[in-house]
Amino acid sequence: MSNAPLLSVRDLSKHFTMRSPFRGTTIGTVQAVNRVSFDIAEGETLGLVGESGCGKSTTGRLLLRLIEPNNGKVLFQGQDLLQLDARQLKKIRKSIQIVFQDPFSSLNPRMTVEDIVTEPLYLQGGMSRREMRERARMLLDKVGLNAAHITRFPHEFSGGQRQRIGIARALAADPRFIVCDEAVSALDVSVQAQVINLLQDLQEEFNLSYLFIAHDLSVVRHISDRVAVMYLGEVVEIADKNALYSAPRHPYTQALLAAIPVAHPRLRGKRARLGGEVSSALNPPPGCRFSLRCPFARDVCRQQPPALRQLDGRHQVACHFAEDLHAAAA
Amino acid sequence: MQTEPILRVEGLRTTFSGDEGTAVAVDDVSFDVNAGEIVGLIGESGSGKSVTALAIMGLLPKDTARVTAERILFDGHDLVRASEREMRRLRGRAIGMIFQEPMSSLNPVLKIGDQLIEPIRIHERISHRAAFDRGVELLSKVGIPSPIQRMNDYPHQLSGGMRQRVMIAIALSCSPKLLLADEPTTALDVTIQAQLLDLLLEIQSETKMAIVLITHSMGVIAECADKVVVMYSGRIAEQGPVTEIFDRPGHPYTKGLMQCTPELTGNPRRLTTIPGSLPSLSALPPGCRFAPRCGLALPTCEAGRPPMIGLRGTHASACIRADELVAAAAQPEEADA
Ligand SMILES: Nc1ncnc2c1ncn2[C@@H]1O[C@H](COP(=O)(O)OP(=O)(O)OP(=O)(O)O)[C@@H](O)[C@H]1O
Ligand SMILES: Nc1ncnc2c1ncn2[C@@H]1O[C@H](COP(=O)(O)OP(=O)(O)OP(=O)(O)O)[C@@H](O)[C@H]1O
Ligand code: SF4
Ligand code: SF4
Ligand SMILES: [Mg+2]
Ligand SMILES: [Mg+2]
Repeated sequence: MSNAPLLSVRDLSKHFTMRSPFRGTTIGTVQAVNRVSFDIAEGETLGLVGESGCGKSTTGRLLLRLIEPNNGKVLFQGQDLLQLDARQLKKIRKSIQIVFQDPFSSLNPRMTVEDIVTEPLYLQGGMSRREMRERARMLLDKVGLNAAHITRFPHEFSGGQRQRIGIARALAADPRFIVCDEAVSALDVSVQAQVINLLQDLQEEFNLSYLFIAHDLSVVRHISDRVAVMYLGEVVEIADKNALYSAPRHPYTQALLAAIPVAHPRLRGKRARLGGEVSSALNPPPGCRFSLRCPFARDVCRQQPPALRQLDGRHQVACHFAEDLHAAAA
Repeated sequence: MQTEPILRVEGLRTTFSGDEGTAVAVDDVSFDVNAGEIVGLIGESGSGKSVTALAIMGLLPKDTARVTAERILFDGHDLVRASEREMRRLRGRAIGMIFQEPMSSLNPVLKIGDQLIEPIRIHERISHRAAFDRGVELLSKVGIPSPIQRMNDYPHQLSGGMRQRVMIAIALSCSPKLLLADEPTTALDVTIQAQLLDLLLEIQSETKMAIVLITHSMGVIAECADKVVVMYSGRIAEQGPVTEIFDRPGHPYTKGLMQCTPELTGNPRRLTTIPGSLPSLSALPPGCRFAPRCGLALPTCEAGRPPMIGLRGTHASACIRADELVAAAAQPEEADA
């Protein structure tokens, strides 16, 4: 891995305002993404996991400036994307693509598959209609769809087939970096395995980088080099995947790994459960955001928010007692 | 179990007509669901799982889709012959459905509270206030934090997983006897998934609600299905009790599925795949539809459609080599014992 990272995110924050259901007055702020920082090297895959609603998709959208952050920096090849004007942004956009979480609403129902897949090429310009069609066929073939279906509309495809249309579109303009937001979760395991192998082949071939958002922890473990865990808008742990899966340091990461479904019906009932109410990003607790559900919480946790700090190697954790918990477990 | 099944599907067939002619998306599918039972429906993407569920619900587009069946018996009603009016009464009340696409099945311009309250009020004739409280209770049951505030949100203000949970709350709001759940937990993290599966299991044991659970997750199947139906290219490849399917899969496709699932140990550089892809609906192989991808295929496999072969108990497979597969799977386990 080279010196400077391809992408550096620093203190990225996005807050949404919420209104009362009765009067329409502002009742609070959802801290969807709060001071998030991480790096992704060239050719690297960073997995991003965490509770539903913790801010993963928002983080992904911020990286592409599909929504504007309240704060922070997104350095791509050294350039702060947040400082660019519309024209400069357009030039760099083709290098950064996204596969959206929801393959149903993210594909325009009135566009044919060909139009959808070639849209990034069209925006970029410089290619004839024929060349674009050829490329669309090649891409569909790569993601395992029948290239003859190029004139069909999204509703004629199953969920997993639509997801692959989204992947083909993301690959169209030779990107350097792709945000894969649940890109394989609508696929059955056999197609999923093929698409994951494809993503890894493309990565090798073109030295691509991925931010790979997913809920399936075994898929994330397979594809990632490093994994970041978010909880209520904040990164609570980042580590090399083997370190994270074999020795998770943050109590939330531990709870998450313990909740992975069993591999065989005979093992039912062996899965651990995370207690407490699902926390709300609306007015989160002071101090550590996990403190309401953390089995190890002490007074200091409820008062002071733990900062993300470096432990051994490249392992970063935001927990006051990461060392103690680790020692106790050993 | 000698109880009458709550749902009996017999010979379901669904075709779509389009520019390229007629495509058979679901071809002669039959299965039973008993009260209080969870039937997992799995299979390759595009194999006809959602179409099966939508056909049962009578929700496929009338202009392009044609649904036929010997019968689809639900709680005394034959759904293939039911009037649109009767179907409308059953939907959302006796039969609930969680759709695969949470975003397009929620109305983008209506607050989720209104979408939740409306069906409750139609079916139960209670006050707006009481329905609102029920809605809030349901949202908190499915694990939506700050449920009162969230009633006022529009779908786009929710995360993917929150939308999925709203859909589940709507489907559960009228205490259905049968729930058709199409990928209900794909957008959820494992802790909330576990919580929702527990909730479904709890409701199921309280009310005897039956569930058809369409999922890609072998883990979800392992956690809660009683029975598994495996589909491939519009047909049932195999069905049976969940432990049989895991221990002694009777169809090479099912066996392949188990091998494709990434594991939590080991570091293989590449995942195992089933080579090739689902045949196109316009060019289906004549005999066994899995034959072009099957490592065990014999010339006879291409001669005609393989019949369902009965295996142990209710386990049955549409593979002419099912007996051999099951016998081979049984050996190592017995050697262990
Ligand atoms: N446009 C919006 N307006 C208001 N709130 C929003 C908006 N988009 C997202 N949010 C809120 O931001 C938070 C984070 O949402 P996000 O979609 O990033 O979560 P996620 O981690 O991707 O979850 P999931 O795993 O369920 O997809 C949620 O509380 C959500 O309600
Ligand atoms: N409205 C439609 N018009 C034409 N063809 C359709 C339509 N809906 C589905 N199909 C086709 O029917 C087949 C079965 O689709 P279905 O949605 O049932 O698959 P699925 O098993 O649910 O897959 P997934 O796991 O990807 O959701 C697919 O080949 C699909 O292209
Ligand atoms: S800081 Fe305290 S409450 Fe937060 S995770 Fe660590 S031990 Fe738990
Ligand atoms: S019938 Fe033949 S081709 Fe089909 S699954 Fe069995 S062995 Fe394979
Ligand atoms: Mg998301
Ligand atoms: Mg489907």
